[in-house]
Amino acid sequence: MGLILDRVTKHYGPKIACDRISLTLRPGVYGLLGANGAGKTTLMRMMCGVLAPTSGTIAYEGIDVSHEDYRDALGYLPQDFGYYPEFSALDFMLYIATLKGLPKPRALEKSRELLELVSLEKEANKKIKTFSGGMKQRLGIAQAMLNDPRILILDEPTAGLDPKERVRFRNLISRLGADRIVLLSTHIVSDVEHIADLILVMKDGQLIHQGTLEEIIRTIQGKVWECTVPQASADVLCDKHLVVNLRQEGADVFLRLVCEEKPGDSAVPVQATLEDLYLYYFSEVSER
Amino acid sequence: MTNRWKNALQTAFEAPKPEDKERFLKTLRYPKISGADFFLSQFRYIRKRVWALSAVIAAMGWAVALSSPQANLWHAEAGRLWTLSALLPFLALLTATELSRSTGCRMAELELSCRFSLPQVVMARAAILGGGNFLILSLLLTLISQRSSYGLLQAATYLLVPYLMTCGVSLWIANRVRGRESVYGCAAAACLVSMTNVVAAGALRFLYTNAFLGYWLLLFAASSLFIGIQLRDLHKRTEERTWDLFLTE
Repeated sequence: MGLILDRVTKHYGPKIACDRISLTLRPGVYGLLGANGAGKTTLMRMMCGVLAPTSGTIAYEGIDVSHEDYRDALGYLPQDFGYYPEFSALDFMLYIATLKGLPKPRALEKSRELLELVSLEKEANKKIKTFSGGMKQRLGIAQAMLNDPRILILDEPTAGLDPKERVRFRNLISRLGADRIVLLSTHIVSDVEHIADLILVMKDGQLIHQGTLEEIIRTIQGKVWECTVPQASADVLCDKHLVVNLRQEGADVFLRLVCEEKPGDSAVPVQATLEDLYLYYFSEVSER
Repeated sequence: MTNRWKNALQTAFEAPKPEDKERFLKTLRYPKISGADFFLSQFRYIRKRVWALSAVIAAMGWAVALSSPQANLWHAEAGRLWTLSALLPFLALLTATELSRSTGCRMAELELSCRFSLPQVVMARAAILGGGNFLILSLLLTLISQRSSYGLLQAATYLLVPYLMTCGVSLWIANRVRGRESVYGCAAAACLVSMTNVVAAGALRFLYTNAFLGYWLLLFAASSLFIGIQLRDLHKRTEERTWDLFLTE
């Protein structure tokens, strides 16, 4: 059965944040891509029972999102979470463990295990207010896994992590995705490219694409070109087409562009990447 | 089966090595804590300063109540009663600010996604703090009823009306305003009720005569009803997850 979203819609007054989203998620890693304001966070919050959908249903193994048993199977890392100022990392973990219904000995054992997993074991008794952004993020990831969740929803989990931490995190997520549903949203396209089994692309509250990396990229295949041209020609091409990469090479300019037709005689078609697709769909959104 | 048989079987047959033990263990769901355990756990998460300040207010109240050497001086020194009732809104303020901590510290979203969700957290803490306040007030009233010429009902009404009004207004504010502004609003409400009480005790002392007891009782009933409505709203708002506007800033 898995996690089923059936025509899930969310309105904020006249604005539609999520528009009739239907999905079936089974164990695996799902990457949610979209520009700011695409509706990713709203969708994730609805999947966590934090926001009530305006219409539509969300259920896991037949259990509705509003039910306690659904939350019992859930691990959630919000985009931006706070903490009680007097809490140390261990206090925070124990508090969340209590809310997740873990008995005290189990909560302590699991908290220590997860703090070690995210390399915070030495900081367990330090106040969270002394933590850096990356440390706080790692603590957030650890708390999400306290109840060994069947559904793990992570909103921008790699924000604030350094490259080494990101690689460790990606490996961890890949392992976790073997026997549970992991949904993560990020702006870092390479994270999704590396670990997601299935990629979901959201724009203006709608799911515009879903599929494997190959399937998703297929929509833009044959439309990505590279060329090295003089500055004057580069200016013309930049005005006419979407440029995903630009590099000065002596007197000439190297360009990577996305366009339907061959942009010039020297242009050669190249293999499309997820980043090309992301920029193709969201360039006008980020320019707003 | 006797131990002798068990030992004989264990000796005769070697037990097979476990296969896929780790995977099997992962499928086991650990027992969860009960609702009562969760409720008790919330005592730990109410700040010590709340208990300390409640104790200070209670001690001040008892000191005022005990400071009258003779029971028959109570009515003449009725100001003591007004002093007590001016203190109690701050007890209500402590409760209200503690209940709005989740949103103030941006913990609400995480708490909403947990098995024991935000409504249960808020209601458990409200019950614990309300119980604590009830204990303080009961002891205070017992003390006053022994030393005051006012009857228990009359003294209770004069003491509880400012407290209940502060609780009601604070809950009303907490239901509409989030974050630190909510705490400031509750503090302003407590000060306003307390000051009104002091002014009434000084300039409008006739309000505390038997002739006006009916109005006090009416205020008591209205405040209690208002608190009931606000508590229901608070629970409904958290239960129905209508935090949208605050979560999508």
